[in-house]
Amino acid sequence: MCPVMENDGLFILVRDGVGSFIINGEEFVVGKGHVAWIQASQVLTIIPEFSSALELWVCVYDYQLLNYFLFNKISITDETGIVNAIPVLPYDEEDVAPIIALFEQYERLSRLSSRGSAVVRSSYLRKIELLYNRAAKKHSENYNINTMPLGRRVSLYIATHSTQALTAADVAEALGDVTENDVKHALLVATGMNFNQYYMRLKLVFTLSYFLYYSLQFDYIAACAGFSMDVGFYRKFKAMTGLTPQAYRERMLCDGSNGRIYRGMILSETIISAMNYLYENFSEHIDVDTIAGDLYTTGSVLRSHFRDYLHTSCKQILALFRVRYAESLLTTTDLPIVDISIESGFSSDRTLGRVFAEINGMSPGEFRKMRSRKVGK
Amino acid sequence: MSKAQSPDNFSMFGQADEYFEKNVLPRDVKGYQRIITRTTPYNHSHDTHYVFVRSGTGILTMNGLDYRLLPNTLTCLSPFNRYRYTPDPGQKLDIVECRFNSGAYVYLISNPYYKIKHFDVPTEPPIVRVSGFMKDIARQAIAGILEESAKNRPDSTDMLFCYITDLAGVIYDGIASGKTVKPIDYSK
Repeated sequence: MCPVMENDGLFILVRDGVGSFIINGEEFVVGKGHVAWIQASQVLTIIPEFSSALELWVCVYDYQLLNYFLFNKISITDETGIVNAIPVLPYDEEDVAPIIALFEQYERLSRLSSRGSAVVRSSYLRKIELLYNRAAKKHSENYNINTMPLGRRVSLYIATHSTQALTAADVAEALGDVTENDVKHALLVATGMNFNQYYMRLKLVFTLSYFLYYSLQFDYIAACAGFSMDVGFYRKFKAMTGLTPQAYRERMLCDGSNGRIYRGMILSETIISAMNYLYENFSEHIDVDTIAGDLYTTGSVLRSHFRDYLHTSCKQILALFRVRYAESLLTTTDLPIVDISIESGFSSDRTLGRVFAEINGMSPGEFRKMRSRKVGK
Repeated sequence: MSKAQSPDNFSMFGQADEYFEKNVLPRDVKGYQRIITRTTPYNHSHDTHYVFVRSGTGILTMNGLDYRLLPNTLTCLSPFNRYRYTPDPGQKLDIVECRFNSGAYVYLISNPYYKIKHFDVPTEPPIVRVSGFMKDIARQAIAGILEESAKNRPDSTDMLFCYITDLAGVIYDGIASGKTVKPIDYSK
């Protein structure tokens, strides 16, 4: 098969057959039960053994999803360890059997079209990654950057430093005992790309990983990837993908119509922080403008975020939280309504009564009476 | 991303951690088993809980409504619920509770595959009775939650977050396929 390099990660399970994977110039013999994680920095060529067929299951693990799940800070050393890890796990019952089980369930989930199954599948990909990393760690002593062919070493060095200003001479100096020309030649042989093509591609893949974060501007993302000029980013992006960043993002999103899988933006930090604050402090006095100030934004920006992404307002959510909590106190305690109103964050029982009626269509007293008849004695 | 970052310090993977600075990331997800043999007092917590019935039967009383608990019943309890368990006579309710803070819950529903049409907190919480393949997924998630909570590996929080994402997906699927459990109607 022709060499391929994707913008997303790929998990590959060899279901049957024998052959090899050439990954950035390094050959790995594969057979039934082998699992590979082909990251976006890797060029893969699949070669079945003569007169044999390789049966593969492939799961696409996009970097937007990987970043969503990567919420715990990991050190640069650990991260480099993940990028440099062995790309094909040798078959080992203990390590690989749970990964194969996840693959099999993933395949069954893929046949379901429900939104719930898509959510479950997203976590399965992360679980495969975590189990893969645990297993790969066991091989890190025998497989590390010093044992790899030069082309692969060069490609991985670029992969772990792609956001920095980098030249072939820098890579040669960092690896030691090689010249700039050795670096360029080895990379070309391993990936089929010259230094600038490969380096630029990784920079652009890095920017893609941020595309689903709501409220991040493209020029900011470009700056994070080390582009000094926005225009350079836009031009290079279009040259690589044939689309502008905006158009590319539009294609990544899907409203879930016509049986397709829904994919939306990841909520902004502002919304998540504000929602978290509301959850934890709903029974206290809360002023929307104060929350906005704490989040270094303005009330109007906060309101527009809530409207665009949760299709409601901060004020309505707060009212809902308080009313639901008041419901729990009305139905499980004998507290007077005036006490419940204070306990659930309302300024008075009159306010509770008004807001409660707006949401439930009845007074707190009527609600208490109605629910008291619904519990077994 | 309010932190000023130099590209030299930037991670190869984007990392949500670089993007979210506030205390909204899942830091503390815990699961534990409870064997209930008698009616519990009302419980209330500021955390969100997933509760899964592994075996036994009984009643979950929540905000003035009774729900029948049978094996493979899964529910999500929010900080607005006060609830208690009552096992049926002679029964032991074997349940697993998995708790996490509200920030983790909001982060959970910000998964790009989770569609929020209109954020709402219904007066009746989502309770589903799972079966078939989704039951297997829920049971595996529950077993995983107990195992990771006990082993406390360096990446346990990451794995636990995956398991609660599984449970969120199972509930999402159960609601869409009409497997919700309605409160007991004593008037009938």
